[in-house]
Amino acid sequence: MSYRVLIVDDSAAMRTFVRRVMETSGFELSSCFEASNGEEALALLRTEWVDAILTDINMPVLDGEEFLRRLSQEDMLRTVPAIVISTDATKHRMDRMFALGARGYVTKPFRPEDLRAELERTLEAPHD
Amino acid sequence: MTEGDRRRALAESIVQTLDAMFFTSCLGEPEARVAPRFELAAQVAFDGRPPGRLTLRVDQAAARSIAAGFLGEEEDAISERQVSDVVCEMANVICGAALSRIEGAEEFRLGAPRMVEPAAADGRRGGVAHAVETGRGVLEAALEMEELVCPPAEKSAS
Repeated sequence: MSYRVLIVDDSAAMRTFVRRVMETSGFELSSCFEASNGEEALALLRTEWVDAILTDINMPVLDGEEFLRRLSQEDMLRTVPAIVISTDATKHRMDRMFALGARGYVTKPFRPEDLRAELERTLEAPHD
Repeated sequence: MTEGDRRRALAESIVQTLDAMFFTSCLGEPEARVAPRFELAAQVAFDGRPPGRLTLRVDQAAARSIAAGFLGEEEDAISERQVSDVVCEMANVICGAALSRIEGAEEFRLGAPRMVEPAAADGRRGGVAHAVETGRGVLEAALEMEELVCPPAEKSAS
């Protein structure tokens, strides 16, 4: 099975890196979409179905926390698993993101295999 | 946490970041007798307890080599803008990794990283710093936190 993934990050370099990690690590990627903030991501999700979302936290316009909150309020989108990719490894932040609906969390710096493992774990986990 | 602990946290964060995400090995500290030429610098301010900023300064050749590895491109195929974007991202990751290691930095929020003038961005003056040789040039990060830059008189008055 191959997957459709959305990357949400205001850094173009980071989006390129994450896409490359998925493409080169053996992860089965069929389509990859990109958005530079939560607002762009929500607009994209109204026209494209994805299997997973990888999102940064600190972004302009609509940050990762508000993005997750808005996802959880939309019936069509609340079941899409979201994985947070962040530099913030503090327990307080991680707990808050999981409470907002995140299904996974990858702390930067990460190795390519760490991201792949978290993606596969999240996609294989049963959810609503 | 002592100043030595913060310096160690910063050093570990640089090595881990370069190795895991930027595919760059650190070859130890640079030779002290050779003054590094920092042609690019990025800065990340952070709010938290305590607030502060991280400054990353890097040699142009090292920056281009690291950027090429990060983006999966040949060095001569990437633009100055892409190199700057990668230097900003590297500063962002090193800063977050260092703060996550530092006891007391319970919660923090990083600002957007931005390129700054290298000559005017010597963060070593007010905080802890660590430099590494990458084989293509030197990279140095300096972490300034409010507690470290407050003079003792201000602390006792509060």
